[in-house]
Amino acid sequence: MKQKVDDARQQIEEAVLDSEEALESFRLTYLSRNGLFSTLFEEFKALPGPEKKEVGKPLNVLKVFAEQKYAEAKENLEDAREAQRTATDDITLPVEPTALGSMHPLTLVRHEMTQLFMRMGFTVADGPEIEDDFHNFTALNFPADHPARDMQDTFFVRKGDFVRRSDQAEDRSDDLVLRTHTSPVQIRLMKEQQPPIRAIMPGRVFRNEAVTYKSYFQFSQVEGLVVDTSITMADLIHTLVTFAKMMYGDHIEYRVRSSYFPFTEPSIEMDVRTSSDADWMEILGAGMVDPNVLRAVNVDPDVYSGFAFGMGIDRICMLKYGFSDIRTLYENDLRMLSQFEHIGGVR
Amino acid sequence: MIVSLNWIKELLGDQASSLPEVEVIADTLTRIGHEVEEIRTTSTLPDSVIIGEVLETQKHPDADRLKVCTVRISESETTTIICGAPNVAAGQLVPVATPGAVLPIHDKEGKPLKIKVSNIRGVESNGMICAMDELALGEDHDGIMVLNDEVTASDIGRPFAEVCGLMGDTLIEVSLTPNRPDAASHQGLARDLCAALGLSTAWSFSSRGGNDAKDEWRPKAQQSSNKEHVSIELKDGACPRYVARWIHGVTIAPSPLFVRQRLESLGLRSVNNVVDATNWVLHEMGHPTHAFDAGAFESGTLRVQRFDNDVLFTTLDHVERTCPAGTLFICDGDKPVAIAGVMGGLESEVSDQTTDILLESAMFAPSSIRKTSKALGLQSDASYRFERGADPLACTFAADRVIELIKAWAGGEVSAEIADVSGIQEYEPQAIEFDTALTTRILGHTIEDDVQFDTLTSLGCVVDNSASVHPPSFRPDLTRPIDLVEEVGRLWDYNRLPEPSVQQAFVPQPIPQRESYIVACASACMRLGYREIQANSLIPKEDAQRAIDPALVIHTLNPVSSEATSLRPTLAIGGLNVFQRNRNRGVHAARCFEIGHVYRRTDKEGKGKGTWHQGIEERTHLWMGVTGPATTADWAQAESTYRFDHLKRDLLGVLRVALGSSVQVHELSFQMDESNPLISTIHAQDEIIGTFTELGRKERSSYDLESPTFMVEIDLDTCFEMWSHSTPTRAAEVSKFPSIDYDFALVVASNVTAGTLEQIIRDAGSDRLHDVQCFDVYEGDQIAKHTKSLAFRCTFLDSTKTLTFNEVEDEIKLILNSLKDKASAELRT
Repeated sequence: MKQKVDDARQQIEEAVLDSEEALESFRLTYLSRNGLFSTLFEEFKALPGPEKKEVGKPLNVLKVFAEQKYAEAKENLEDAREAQRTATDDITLPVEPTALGSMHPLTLVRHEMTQLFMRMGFTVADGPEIEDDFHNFTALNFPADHPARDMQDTFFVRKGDFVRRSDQAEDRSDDLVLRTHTSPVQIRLMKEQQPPIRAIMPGRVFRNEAVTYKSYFQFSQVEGLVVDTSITMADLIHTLVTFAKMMYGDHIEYRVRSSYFPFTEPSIEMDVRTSSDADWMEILGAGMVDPNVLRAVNVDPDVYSGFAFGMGIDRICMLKYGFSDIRTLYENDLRMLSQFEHIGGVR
Repeated sequence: MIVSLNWIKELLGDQASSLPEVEVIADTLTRIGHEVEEIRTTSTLPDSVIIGEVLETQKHPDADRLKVCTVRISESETTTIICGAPNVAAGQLVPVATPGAVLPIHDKEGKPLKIKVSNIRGVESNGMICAMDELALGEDHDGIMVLNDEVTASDIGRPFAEVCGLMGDTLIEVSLTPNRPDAASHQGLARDLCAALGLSTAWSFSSRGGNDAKDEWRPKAQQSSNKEHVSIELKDGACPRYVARWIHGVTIAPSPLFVRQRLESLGLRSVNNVVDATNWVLHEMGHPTHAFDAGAFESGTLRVQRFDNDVLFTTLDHVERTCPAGTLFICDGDKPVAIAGVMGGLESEVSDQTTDILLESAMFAPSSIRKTSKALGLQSDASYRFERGADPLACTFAADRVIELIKAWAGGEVSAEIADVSGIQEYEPQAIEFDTALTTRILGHTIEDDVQFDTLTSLGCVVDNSASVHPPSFRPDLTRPIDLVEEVGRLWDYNRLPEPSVQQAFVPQPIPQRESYIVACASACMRLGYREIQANSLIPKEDAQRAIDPALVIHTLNPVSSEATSLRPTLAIGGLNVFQRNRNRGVHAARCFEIGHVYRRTDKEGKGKGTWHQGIEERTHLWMGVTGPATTADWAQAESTYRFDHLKRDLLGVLRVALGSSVQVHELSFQMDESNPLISTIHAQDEIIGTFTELGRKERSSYDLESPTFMVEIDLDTCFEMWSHSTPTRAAEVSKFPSIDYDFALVVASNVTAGTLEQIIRDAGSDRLHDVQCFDVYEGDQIAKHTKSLAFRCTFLDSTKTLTFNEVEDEIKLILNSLKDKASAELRT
């Protein structure tokens, strides 16, 4: 028995385990259920006591040694195999990047603007895109039959088609409009809530204009409204300049000029430019809320005053991202939109 | 409006020398509300273009169409010029461009044309006899200009431009706001400019506010003699005043050159010396007048009236128009001769044969003119001014001025008679109680009282001692104190307002949840790799009517084009159009979303969620769509197309955000449409929250889409309502004990849906049933016909202990019994 163990030790020590086959044959020969160690331990069980004592320890040591040798060799082989690269283990193989989603550039700009105004303490309000004459015009001090209505080419929608189709009368007074600005939201807000009010109204608006590179029948606006007991033109200009500097950079120059909107008095427009030799760009219209507008929503103009402003998101978006044709914004060419993957969504 | 700087200077007289350079003028006009859009200059003709006299013409020996002209170019000098114009003849006084003259037109190489001595087929030509276009004075190239009416023989040799008063000019194009009809004239704009520059504006007032205005309104001359045999009847309040003047024996001819040059440089067409006089005054003073051929008034009555019926009427632009009932006309008796304040009639227009003129200088109510102008789609220089509000006191001044010009340009005898009829007896000038403190309150800065009142006075207001301000009659926009604040602020310059010394402290109001909700939903789509699109709200009628019951589609009454007639009832149409457009540009793979409003008619009573106006439903939807390859083939993966479950997985992810914790994913149910299995409705809490659609073959091909295409449209208004009942997110404890999975396969009839089975399992399971998944679906030879097999994995979890297999088996027994009872489901063995 001792001789058998000694022989085995010699064979095990000499065994060269440099391949899968050698390794497997080693395992089968020594370590498997029918391997040499199983046999030897069977024989060992049958040995008389003194001999057991003599053989037991070397046999166990040898078995541990064999197992370690096997494990080491196996580890080495696997390391070797792992280090060996196949053709498809080539990190330089090209792959398409995982498509990230993206926000539409108009959404990106709208949110950037919204965030800036939120920093200045504005909240956000919204309302319907189909409006009635009262909210879109009358309450905003557009008298009926006044040329001011020509400033905004309007889409009309018949209110009652569904409920009274039989009515043949050409009564247009009841017609609804696609809102031409988000100012009707100002009216809704002031009807719902007494001052102080400090809110912006972003949203889609419509003008019945020929489609060209610079005009489209729909576009987006951000308007703002502030009403309180002592709001002044100086506050308005300060707010607008603060916004413009955050939006376009601290270095911009601005100018304020007189203008006309039915719902503000006095009315202004604001231009900015990036340097003193650049052209002025008109970025917004604004003014002090006309007393007639305040009265239309039961706010006392002798107690309260307010300012309102409005700017086109599309135009700012075009400036910011270098679009030269407004139609591109509504074309939704995915190759165009995919460029905005770089921007991590709305911030 | 185009403004001639020369004209402004003429109006300013001596003060013109105080005007700053044109850039400053433009900046000033822009600052005070008259935005300058463009500045152009026209050049003065060089002095080397002179007046010459054609003494003799002979046929060119070697060219049929050319003539050799002998031209006197000074008292003592004659020269030879070859001329091809058919109208050249001896005795003509003509403009001659002498050698060295550089003309304001371009040669073939695009350089300014320089006149040289040249040899034309063997004859020397020493200059050019010019046609109108060659001197940039008009389009006319039919022949050379003949100046016999403009100049005399004593002018021969003198510079043509100087003799005829033709000057280079600076033309300023101004965009006018609709509240300032007074600015639609050179006088009005120059007045505002002078006020802003601190120059005197006294020259500019033919009328003012206050009590003077009352006097001015009272008709100056009563129509007593009626030598002209025309009596005037104002039958309508829309014409409060009508002044008529007569001038007899005029000679209708082209206007003097300088008149034609100026009118044309302003973009007007020169007609003749009488019509040009009315246009001149319109642009000089702003008041529209109209010259009739006096012969048109045969009945002896000039009546301003409306008719109860439509009237067919031919205007002087040769267009026959149907004027709706209620249109205000100037009539000869009852026969219309002009659409009041809009355009004259062809029959009564001043023609070459006209010798007697009836000049109208009237006032018309703005809304009446606007209605007519809108109804006819006809805007004229006159209607533009009347509908914004002309100066009611200008009628007599304007008439005087036009008569003066007609007399000067067309000759004739001015009739002593002046008809001046007023429909209202007294003119009530505006009086505004003005407290200068309002300026401080609105502008946020105090401007001294003196400065405020001086500003108002410079604009023509009369200020009483009591600070009652009477605005001038030409400023219909000034009616309230706030309007005066704008005048003060506008001229004082808003750019000078200091920053507010006290910054308002305010408590920001909370941002409405809905705002951040919409952003979160969009972000959820983006997190899943979807690309946002923004499609049109207005779509073609046919597309809208295909999507929903055509009776519910909302159309615009005045569509901009056939591509954009109707309001979108769903976002799907826009999304599919985007797929198609991209597909046709070679982009096949698309994974997109849009959030936007959709609109339809509703017969629901009253207003409610999504209904701001009765009968109209406007809601916010979220659309997601996928088409084209889901993966593209490369060395590692094969190309694959989308299956419904791709979109369903993404949808459930988005709904985790859109529904919050108010609805669990397994509480949603999908119900296939009975008539079209490609469409399913999505249900949560007994409400339909959206529609899941697989595009059918035919629909795909109508959008040029080859690949399987799926889309889902969710009503975010309904979802938001549910979301708002969510419990706030809390970090709940997770179980520390392992879960146990139990798998079983069922055989059920083919028509039993997986959703039904899942629901039975969930209903039968206890609180420990943590999750149910289907991991295999089979139909085929190994099981009976009309049956299918679904394999489910139930995951059990207890937060207080490790479950034993026996405990789970008890639950499974209950589940399997329930499945057998409710769906005849057998265990597959």
